[in-house]
Amino acid sequence: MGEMAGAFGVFHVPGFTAWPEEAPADQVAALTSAFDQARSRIEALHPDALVIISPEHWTNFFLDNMPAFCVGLASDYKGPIEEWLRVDRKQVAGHPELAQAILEDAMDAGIEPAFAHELLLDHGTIVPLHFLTPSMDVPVVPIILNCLQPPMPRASRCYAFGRSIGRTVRRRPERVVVVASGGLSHSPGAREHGQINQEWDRRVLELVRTGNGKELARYTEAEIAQGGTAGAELRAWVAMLGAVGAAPAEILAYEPVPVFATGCAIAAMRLEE
Amino acid sequence: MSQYDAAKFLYHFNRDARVRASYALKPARALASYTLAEPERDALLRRDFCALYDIGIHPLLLMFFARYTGTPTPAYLEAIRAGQAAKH
Repeated sequence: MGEMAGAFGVFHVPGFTAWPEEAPADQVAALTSAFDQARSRIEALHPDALVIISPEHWTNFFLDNMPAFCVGLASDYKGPIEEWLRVDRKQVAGHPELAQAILEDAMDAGIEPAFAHELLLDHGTIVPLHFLTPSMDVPVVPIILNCLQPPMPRASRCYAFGRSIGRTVRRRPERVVVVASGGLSHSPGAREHGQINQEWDRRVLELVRTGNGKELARYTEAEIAQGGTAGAELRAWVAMLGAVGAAPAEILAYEPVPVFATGCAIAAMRLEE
Repeated sequence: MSQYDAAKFLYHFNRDARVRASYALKPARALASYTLAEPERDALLRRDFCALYDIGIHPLLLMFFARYTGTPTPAYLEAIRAGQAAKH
């Protein structure tokens, strides 16, 4: 039997690869160190695949067809689409068998994600992969959530989808690491750009740390919105927490970085407990 | 539904280098196939980020459009905030 070998929640601020020199060196060092720790742990786990849950950024979907959830079924993906990200464009292998199983099991559980046989990867996927698996040699299953345009899937449904993902991972033969990418509080491009709600971030991280994903799954749209116009990306973390259940976490870093306009966090779920 | 088409142009622009090249070369021609009201067309041609923001275009679409057309984020933010301040 396979297992959920590991799970992490990470930020994906594009500035971290595109303009890190503009951020305070001590904050960049803390976040880099946390990514390094996560990378080392993933390397030691020897995963067969990464399931990476990230928000849509108008990369793959527009208002003509916006899925709540989309599972990538492709055998490979290319990215980043952002020419300015300062990450070389790469081709990353997919894992169609695991992806298909995630999709089928979700449908059996009464959740109907969309699916895509081709997806472009943007900073939401590439920034985490750049730091967690720099060679990008671990096959990925990208799962994209609508965190852009209301109405968005409710936190409770993201948690439920995550639970289904977790069940699939545990019954399959592969060793899988699940990564949530996004957040925390930020409002990119909005007039509120730069406002970081540290209180909201720290409350979220305390719930993550103490294994209280179910509490986050009860967040209302209003509570999520306190994380900024893009606080909606919390959904990726909620889905990951659904996959891992009540496991606590080690918060490897939290840095509210003004030039990134984001509360940046990295958490490693303690699945052994 | 021109707001939709204005957003759709920006969606195409941000994900496709050919659209970006077309806009850089002949912006009016790049917009020709989209159903735009004159204010939207004008705002896209003049890169009036504040006007586009107030129309309701998603800020991510705008911020990336600004970056690709040579307006870094601080200047983009200044533009959308200055325009708001001018109205009040």
